[in-house]
This record gives sequence, C-alpha cells and structure tokens, in this order.
Amino acid sequence: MRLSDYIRENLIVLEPEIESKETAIALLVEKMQKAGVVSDGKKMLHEVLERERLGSTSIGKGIALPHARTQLVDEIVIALMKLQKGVVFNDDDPEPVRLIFLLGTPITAVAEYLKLLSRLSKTLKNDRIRKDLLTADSGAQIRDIFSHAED
Amino acid sequence: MTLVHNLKNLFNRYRMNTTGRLFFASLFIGIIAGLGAILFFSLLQIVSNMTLHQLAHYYPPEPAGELSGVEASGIPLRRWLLLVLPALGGLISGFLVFSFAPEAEGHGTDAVIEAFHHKKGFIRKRVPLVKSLSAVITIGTGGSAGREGPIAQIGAGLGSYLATLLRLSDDERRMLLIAGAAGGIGAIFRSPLGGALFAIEVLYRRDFEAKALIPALVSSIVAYSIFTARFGYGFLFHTPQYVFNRPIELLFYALLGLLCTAVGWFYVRFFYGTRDSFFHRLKLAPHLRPALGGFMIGAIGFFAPHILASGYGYLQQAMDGSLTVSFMLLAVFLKIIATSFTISSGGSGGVFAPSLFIGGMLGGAFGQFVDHLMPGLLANPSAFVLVGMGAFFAGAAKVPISSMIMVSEMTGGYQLLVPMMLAGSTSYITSSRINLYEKQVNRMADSMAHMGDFTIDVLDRLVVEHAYQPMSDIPVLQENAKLQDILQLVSQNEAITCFPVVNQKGLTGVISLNDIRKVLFDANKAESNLLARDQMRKAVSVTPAESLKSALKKFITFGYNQIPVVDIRNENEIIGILRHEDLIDAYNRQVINRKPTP
Repeated sequence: MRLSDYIRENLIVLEPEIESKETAIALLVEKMQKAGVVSDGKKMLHEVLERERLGSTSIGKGIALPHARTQLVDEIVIALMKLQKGVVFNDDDPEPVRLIFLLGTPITAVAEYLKLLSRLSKTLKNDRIRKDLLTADSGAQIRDIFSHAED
Repeated sequence: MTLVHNLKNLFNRYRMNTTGRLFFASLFIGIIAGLGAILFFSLLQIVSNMTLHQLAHYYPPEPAGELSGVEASGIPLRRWLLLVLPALGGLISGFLVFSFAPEAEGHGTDAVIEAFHHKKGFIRKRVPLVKSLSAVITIGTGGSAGREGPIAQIGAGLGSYLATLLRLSDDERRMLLIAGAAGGIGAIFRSPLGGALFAIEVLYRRDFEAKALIPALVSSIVAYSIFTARFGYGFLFHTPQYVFNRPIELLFYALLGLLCTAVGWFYVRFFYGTRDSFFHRLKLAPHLRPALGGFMIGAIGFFAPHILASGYGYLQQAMDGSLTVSFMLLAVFLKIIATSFTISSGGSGGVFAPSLFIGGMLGGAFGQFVDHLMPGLLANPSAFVLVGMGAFFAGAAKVPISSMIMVSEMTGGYQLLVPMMLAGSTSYITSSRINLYEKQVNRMADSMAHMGDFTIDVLDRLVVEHAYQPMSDIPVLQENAKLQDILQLVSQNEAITCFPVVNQKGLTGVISLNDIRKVLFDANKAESNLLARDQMRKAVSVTPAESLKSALKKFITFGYNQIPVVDIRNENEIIGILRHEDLIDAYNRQVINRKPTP
C-alpha cells in the first residue's frame, strides 16, 4: 500500500477563501462529488459533520483528518485542502489547522483504513514534509511530496 | 461432439436438476460403454485368435455361452510359444502403459476407486484408449487376468470425460464415473444388475454409494442391451438347473465360505507381496517388468496351459463335473501365482475373472471331496463351483451383494442364491483383514468424496442454543466510545475478542480485536482520535434458534471468531456470545454421543 496512490490531483484544493471548518469540509465533499467518487454529496457532508460532532479529528501541528465510514464510497478516497490562514477545528487545540485530509471509507474496509491512517499520521509527523506541503503550489507537487516520502 | 452439444441444450432448455441431467447423461454413457465393450471384446478375440490360436495352435476350451466358433487347426500345440507369447505381450503392453498412461497399470478397478475418492472422479481421456490396447494385448497373449478391471476403467474414463465435456460438477462427474464402470461391466459379463451393483459396492468395504444406483442401472441396462444385440443373449456359462432343497448342505457351504477366506488371504498376500517385495524392488525399468512377468507366466503355462488367459473354459468344465479334485486344487494355486505375475508386474487386466476361476475351482474341489467322503449327501457337488465363485470374490473384494448377483447372472444359477448368501457372508465377515482392492475405503465417512457431508449434516441439526455462552452482562461499546474506553473494556474482558458496538437503536457493528490490536497498544495522534464506530465492522449476529450450519457460514463469511447472540424476538437485545470453539465443541459432543464406540 502506497500513500501516494490515494492522493489524487483532482481532489486537492489549494488555498481557498473559507471561514470555518464546516465550509472547508463542505468544499472538500463538493470536490469529491465533482470527481464522481461519492454517490451523494449532501449525505456525505451530513455523515462527516455528525462524526465531527462526536469527537474532533484534529491531530495537532495544524492537521485534521475528518472522515466518515460510509456506504457512499466504493473505495477509500482522500480529498486534501491546504490553507494559507488556518481554521480552528477544536476548541481545546488553539493551533489553526492548515492541512485538512477528508477520508471516505467503505464500511467493509476496516483493516485497510486503519493501516492507511497509521501511514498518514506517521508521514505527517515529519516536520520537513509538513513544511514542504505548506509551501507547495500545485497538486502535482503535493503528490510528489508523498511519493518521495515513501521512497 | 454434436451429441454432447445436444445433451447440453436439453439440460438448459428444461432447466434440469442433477437427477435429470444424470439420467440423460447415464443413458448416453450406457451407449458409449456398450460400444466400448463391443470394441474391447472384439479386439480381444482378434488378438487371442492371432496369437494363441494361429501361432501357438492352442485352443483352450470356451465357456458354453461364449463360443467363438473357431475350429481347431489340427496342428499340434507349439508349446514353446506359450512360454514366449505372454512375455511378448508384456513387452508391448508395458511399453504402451508406461510411456503413455502409467495410471493404466495393473488391474484398473483400483484406479477407478481412487479416481472416485481422491481425484474428484477425474480420469485422463487417454486412459480408456491406452487401457483397452494394453489389456487386449496382456489378456490376448495369455496373461492371466480378466476383463472387469479394464472395462471398468474404460467405461469410467468415458463417463468422466463426458462429465468434463458437459461441464458438470465434481459430484456429478463421480456419478458418471460409476455409471460408466457399471455399463462396461454389465455389458461384457452380460450381468446388468450385477455390474451396476458392483460399481456402487466396490468403492467401499462396508458401504454403498447409493446415490449412484440409478445412473449405474440406467447405463448398465443400455450398455447390456447394446452388447447383447451384437454378441447374443444368454448366460456366459451353461449349468444344469440346480435346486437347493437340502438344508444340511448349508453346513458345507459355510465351511466353503471359511475355506474361501483362507485361500483369499493367501491370494491377496501373494498378489501384493509379489508386487511390493519383488517387481517393485527389481532394478528394471517399469516398461520391462510386464515382459518379465509374462515370461514367468509362460513358464507355468508351458506345463499347465489351463491357467493362461481367463480360463473360463476350464471353469465350465468344472461346472460340468469333468475335472478331478487334485486338478482343481492345483489350479487354484497355480492361478493365484499366474495372476500375481501378470498383474503385479504391471500388466493390464482385472482380478475378477481370476477370482472367479480360483473360487470356482476351490468350490469344485471341495464339493467333490465332500461327495467322495459322504456319497449321496450333496444333491449336486458341482453347485459348489458356482457358490465358490460368488463367495470367494465376495470376501476378497468386499462385494457380497454384487458378487452373488454377477455369478447368478453369468450362470443362470439363481436357485443357488441362498447358499451363496451364506457362503458369501461367511467369507465376508471372516475376511475383514484382507482386501483385494487396496483403494477401497471403509465407509462414506472415510472418502474425500463425502468429506464435509457429515459435518454439515451434524451442524444442520444443532442450533445456536445448544452451543452459545449466555451472558447477562455483555460488554458492549457505544458507537462514540473513545480509544481509552475500548482499551478499558478489552482489558476487563480477556476472553472476548469481538465486541458488539451499539447505539440507542441497537447493534450497529462489531469490533474485532484483530483489527485494532495495533491501534490499542501503539496509538499515534490520528489513531487516538478514533471512536468505536471508526473501527467497527459490519454488524452480524445469530439467534438461539439458528442452526450451527448457518452460524458456521457467518464465521467463514465475516472472518470473526466470535459472534453476538441476539434475542429471537428482539434482535437488538444481545443475550450472549457464540465463539467458534463453542461450535466445534457442540459438534464434537454430538459426534461422540452418536457413536459410543468408535
């Protein structure tokens, strides 16, 4: 399993104007809908936000991993957003989030999902990779960063 | 090929189930097996006519029902050729078999039995051809062997091939394998019922493949009709109308049964002993072993030609009462030796005909001996020939029913069914330690062909209620339980590996310890955010009334080793857990209760 296989250029949003985590997530879901990887964007948004209400998905260092285990996707999909000016995801964690990874996972793919999550957080722990991601200025560049990180 | 295609269309058009498909396929196999038997028998006559008759000028007597019409040439017997011919036959047959189809070695029936139990009924399509040619040459040049093994393997091979062409299931291929064997044997011995019964009986020492009875009967009826349309109806042997009306004779028939066991023991030991301790140890290419075997038979045939080939003509003479006790007794042992040399060296031929010969001669010798000792006691001493034929094979080959029926159908001696039943059963029950067919298994339960049948059968009768662990206080996880909650529950419940996950409405999923082991003990930041709902698998449950068969299916489909048990009236109420090992325990208990003594 390679992380870069899950990063798709058409699911990357660079530095949009947004004011809250809800609008950020809505934008990512919309992106997924446009790419045709989620069958019902409205439902998906609802499921992700509901999950978010049960417990925050920010993991510190300006990163959040909102997600849903859902029947609306056929395989694991990741949509990615990079922000110039971060948004607050969690009141306990004042550091604004600047990298958001939205994950959609089929109900059946538990093992794959947990493995992917572990891989993702290990990669993002690296300060240099985080810095590279924040300074990247194209989707292709972001993809390259992930594939180099794994080599 | 178009026939096969039509058969397939027929299956599809009427959406036939297994019974229908097997019926029509068996009809078709009956036709091929019947034609195969005609071809095999004709070739056999041609080869033995060319070698034994025209070359050696040896004209053995023939059974009354199978006269070839060949007139003796009047030229004196070239005895030395009897020494050479079987060796020559062995050379050709050895080359054929070991170059093209080594599985066609030996007596054939065992190969069919093995294909049934261990090879999903599969026989390579070249086997029938190689087997026909090699057997025709082995037997036609005087080898001491019979037609049942080859024709069984030929018919079975054709049946197996047809099943493959029709893309039938493994189970159906096994049925057609049996149907093919039944047709071949039923035809060539003119014994339709015996052939069918033999094919389903010979697979087991103490069981029948009852499911195959109808395909075997159908194929046998057709094959028999085709064969006899060409070669004539009637019995292979002609016998006087025996009657059984002196119950005192039963005593001697029982003794004959015991005698059959004793001789059968020697037969089987010697037969496989020659193979394992002599031929297989020789530093000689397998191709050449049948030639050596042939030479050894020739050496016996040089002095005693009656042990060559099937010897049916001499058996007929025994029935006619024209042989002496000492001739018959000697023939018993010489035949055992000759048969062992022929077949154990790798030659092609069956053990049925030699067994008939051995049993018949033994019975004949015993009957005459009793008659000498107590003249007038026996109504007809030569009836013992027939009973010996049936009883000897019944015990040695573990086919008590078909042996009796085949001998009756071959001789018309139905009047002797009662003595045959007694002698056959006596031999069968006292000979449990000998086995002419090595590949036979004891019962269906020992066959790969039926593996799983019994487990499923047992599990279908048990329900979850008999097996699960009721628990009043089931450890469940709320959907939004955090990692530390999960960790706590896991450490408090060591025996549980699958935790039900619930929300207000009820069971929504299952968390399997296997999936989350890494997360539990070595969580990074992303993982420590995970809730129960992020890690659960699809909810699956069983009810107490559900069969263990259905529970087993769920274990296999979902890969859990524990499944929550829910109340039958309220499927959101979890009342216990069914562990995989509970299911196995319940199965074991049931099996042990069923069979108090193993």
